[in-house]
Amino acid sequence: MKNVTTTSLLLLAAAAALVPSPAAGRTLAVVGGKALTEADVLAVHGYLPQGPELRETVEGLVQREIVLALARGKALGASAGEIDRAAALAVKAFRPPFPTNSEGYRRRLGEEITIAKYLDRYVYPRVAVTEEALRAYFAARPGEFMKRPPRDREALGKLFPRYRNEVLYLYVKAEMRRLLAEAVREARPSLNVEIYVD
Amino acid sequence: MRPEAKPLPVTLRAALATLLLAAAARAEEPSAAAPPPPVRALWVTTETLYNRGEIERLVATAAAYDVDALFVQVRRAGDAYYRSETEPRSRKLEGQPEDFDPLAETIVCARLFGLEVHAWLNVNYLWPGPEMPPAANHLANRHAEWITVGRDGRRLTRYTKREMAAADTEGWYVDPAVKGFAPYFASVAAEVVRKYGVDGLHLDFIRYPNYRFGYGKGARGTYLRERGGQDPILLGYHKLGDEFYRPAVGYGGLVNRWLDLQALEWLDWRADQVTNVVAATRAAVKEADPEVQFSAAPWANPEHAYRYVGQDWLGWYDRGLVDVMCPMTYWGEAPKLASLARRLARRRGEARLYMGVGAFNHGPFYPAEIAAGLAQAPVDGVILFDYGSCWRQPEILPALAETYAAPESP
Repeated sequence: MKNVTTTSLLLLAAAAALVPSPAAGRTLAVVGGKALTEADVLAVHGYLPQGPELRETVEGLVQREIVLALARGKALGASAGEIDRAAALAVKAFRPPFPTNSEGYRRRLGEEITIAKYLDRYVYPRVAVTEEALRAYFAARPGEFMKRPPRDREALGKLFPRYRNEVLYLYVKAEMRRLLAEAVREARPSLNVEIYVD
Repeated sequence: MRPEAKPLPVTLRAALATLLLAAAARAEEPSAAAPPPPVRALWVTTETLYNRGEIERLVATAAAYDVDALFVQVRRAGDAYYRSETEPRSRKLEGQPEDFDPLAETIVCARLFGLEVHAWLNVNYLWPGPEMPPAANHLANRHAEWITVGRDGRRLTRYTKREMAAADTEGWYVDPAVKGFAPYFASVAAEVVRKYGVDGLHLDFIRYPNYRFGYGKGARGTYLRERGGQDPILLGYHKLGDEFYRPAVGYGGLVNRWLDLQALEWLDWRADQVTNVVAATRAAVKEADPEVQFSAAPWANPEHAYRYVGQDWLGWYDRGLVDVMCPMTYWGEAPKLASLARRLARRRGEARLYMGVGAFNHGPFYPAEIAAGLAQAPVDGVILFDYGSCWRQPEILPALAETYAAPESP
């Protein structure tokens, strides 16, 4: 039952994304002249949250738009072939509950490929991966990697190789989030961001 | 070299006489419409191949209940239950006469009753570990470097039993991305077909242990050369979210989507490595005998199989790589299996579909219920896992036979 409901909501959200206002609902934010509406929030959750959850989602959508603007500012985009490929690979992995050739879905996939290219070329290369940085990350939060971490620092250090690649994964993600936040903070004033949610 | 006919054992002679009488009696009866799906097959694990008596009992039982085909496991853990030029004879056959050849014995017995024999070979699964296999010529001893590497950078040979259980692997697997493995395994399979004249060659464990493995330096290097992007070691701990179809928002969401898109590429490349082994093996087997039926036993859910263990078995259909697919649909009810069969019917072309039915994890009448429930589904057969379970629950095969014998409802 839950799957059916989720699928129906996703279909509604996908349909809503294709239809211009007033079906798009209330405008919740504007980024560089582009309105973000209730339909955009619905596409994220499958339902329309209220209160802090709505605010957080709108903030997330705003960040997405800013990163997209940054990417486009670098002349990045996604070709039809790249969208076709990503859509085909996603079908192999997931068997989506809706047609993947819809304009709305392809547009969003294109945007995410564009954002990924920006991260690939302008964010990831700035992540400084050193063994010292990874060891420090591990030493600061060993509880994230094992149930009962040793208190002795030397013993903890000996365990590092076992967890090194997991540390790398989490460290890179954390650093990329930090660098992305910096980039968005810097770009935000020039994009005239307005948010209409408390 | 094909197996020579030998004098019939007493149990088989009795079974043969009974069957001939039954067949004659059936010929007199008005023709009752045979309920589909038409083929009944059994997966037979190596436990049944330890001695002649077990094999005779297998064949007599299968014949008595109108089983059509036996899928007999003759390569389980890199060892052989047949005479191989490359694989070591299984330790489980110690104490048996030197000339005892389980596969040949099965074929000779099965031919008497017109049963098909398919040689079932485990492909990537190699050895339970954690100790090295005692046979010097075991593949794990000859090519330990072929064994797959976990995302933590350690080869499976360095895992303890407990660590293997925690990583959800039954033991050591050969990494399908290893360049030498596809031709090696293809030659192993072709040898069986050439020497024994089997009706079919059946692949099992044709996969990665799971998404946690396949991170050897060689594999990653090849991936980077062929597909570009980031070193997949970065993806080792990334879980491709089921929320892929929703827009990614926020810093975490965007970074995760960046990884998602790379993970899709990595999954596709991994699946290609497994498919390459299937393709190479099919080519070698068909060269040895164009008539041999080439089959595989993939995980039941195609998308799960693709993501989790690298089995793109819908892609195998598309490329015409298998003659018979036997998905291991052990846990489904009949409507669910029929639904899968209808979905596959649009994809599988000329390839046949034998639905894998669990005889080990349900009551004794479950296989018969499934067979009856698949009567109207586009299925070519059912294959039970496994014969040993049928032996432990003696009602299974009679109930199944009765379902097949029942006249079609008006």
